[in-house]
Amino acid sequence: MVPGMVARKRGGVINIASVVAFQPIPYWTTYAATKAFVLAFGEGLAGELRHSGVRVLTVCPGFTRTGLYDESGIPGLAGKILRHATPEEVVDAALAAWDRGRVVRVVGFINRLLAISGAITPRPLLRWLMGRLFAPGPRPPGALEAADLVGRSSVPGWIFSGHRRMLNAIVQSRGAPMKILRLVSCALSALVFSSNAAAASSLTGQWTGLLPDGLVFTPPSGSCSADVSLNLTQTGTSLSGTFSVIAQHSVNGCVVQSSLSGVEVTTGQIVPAQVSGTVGFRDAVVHHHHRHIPQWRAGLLQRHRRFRHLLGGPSDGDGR
Amino acid sequence: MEKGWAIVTGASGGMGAVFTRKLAQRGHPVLAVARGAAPLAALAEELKPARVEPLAADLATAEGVAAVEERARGLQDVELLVNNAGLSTSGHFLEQSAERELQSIRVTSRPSTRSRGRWSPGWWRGSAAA
Repeated sequence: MVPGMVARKRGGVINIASVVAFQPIPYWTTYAATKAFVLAFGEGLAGELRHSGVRVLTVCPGFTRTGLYDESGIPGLAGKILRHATPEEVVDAALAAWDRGRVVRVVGFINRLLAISGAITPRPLLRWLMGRLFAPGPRPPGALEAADLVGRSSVPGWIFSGHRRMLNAIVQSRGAPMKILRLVSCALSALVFSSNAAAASSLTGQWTGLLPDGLVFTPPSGSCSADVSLNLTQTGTSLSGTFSVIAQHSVNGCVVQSSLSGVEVTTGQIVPAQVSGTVGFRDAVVHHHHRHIPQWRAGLLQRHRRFRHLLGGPSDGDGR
Repeated sequence: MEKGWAIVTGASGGMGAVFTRKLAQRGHPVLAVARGAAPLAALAEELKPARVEPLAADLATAEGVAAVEERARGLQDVELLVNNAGLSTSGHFLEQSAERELQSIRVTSRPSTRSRGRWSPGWWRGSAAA
């Protein structure tokens, strides 16, 4: 088609990429990769054809209310906290950009910020941040809500790992303009992150059904363990106790072997209809982070009760 | 000057349907491509008297892409190609079906490349095979 357009010296192509083309998206890996392809391909072709009278526009919408996500869903919190545009808004913006001869059009102010932030944020930080934002959400009833645990664990993780990485990246970057740019991008990321944390901390896992054999959640990296407090209400009987768990990393995320200390509860003893419970994940510790905490800092942490759980309490598993 | 053809992929719903509508309003004859024939026919009916030709093809398959190419070759003047069709999978990569992942790659990346390479000079034919 394009050679015909070149021969006639008019016309062009509009490719629909996405704002996810600007950064790697864990848990939406293939989709983001295909969109990155579309963006890079469109821009490359636009460059080749710039004097031919044929134009190539690549449109990068953010989340849009279409049937695209009906089947797959948008993983994680990102889909919940970012605004969804209507298809009409996107198409109007696309056609306006086409009329003006633009090459790339990111639709929406926040999406433009995200695109810029994707370009200037250090890659390790970007991967980490996107992993947090797009960590898969609720599993089917019976399994516990994965996003909750990740959300609860995100504050210490951020303070001791993300923050450190951000600062390192700033210190290591060369030249004042780059430092300033990265500082701005870190501030932006922190902004997005804090809305993530705020949304997450208001959540508690809730389910009706079997006490799961294993809770499944997704750690940002490495192995992990979780200290979970649980209240079970059984018809007529109230069970409560501290729930201690051992977490093991697997390809499916983190499988937490659960047992209730003090009261023995196994799956078979609780009939689905009889149980409803709320699980609040008090502290989820990511061992990957705290393995790196040096001795002197461990001493400091010991003195601050708020962060003591980072070192692993008596109820923590071995976290391998 | 009379407006040339516009080809819209993924035209049965979402942004594709809106693109089809707006381009038809702008006076382009539109070739609307999507997997499902019924929504396309309904859209063409709705937009009458504007010229909207439905074409049911699955762009994840080689036959589907070939069908669009074949049809496009028959059109006099293709002015605008909107590569809108896309497919999204989400969740842990290792839990996804490989076929579904490949399908999403084929739908989203390949037609945009292929539609150009087919009749192009040799210097970019390499990308057409991708």
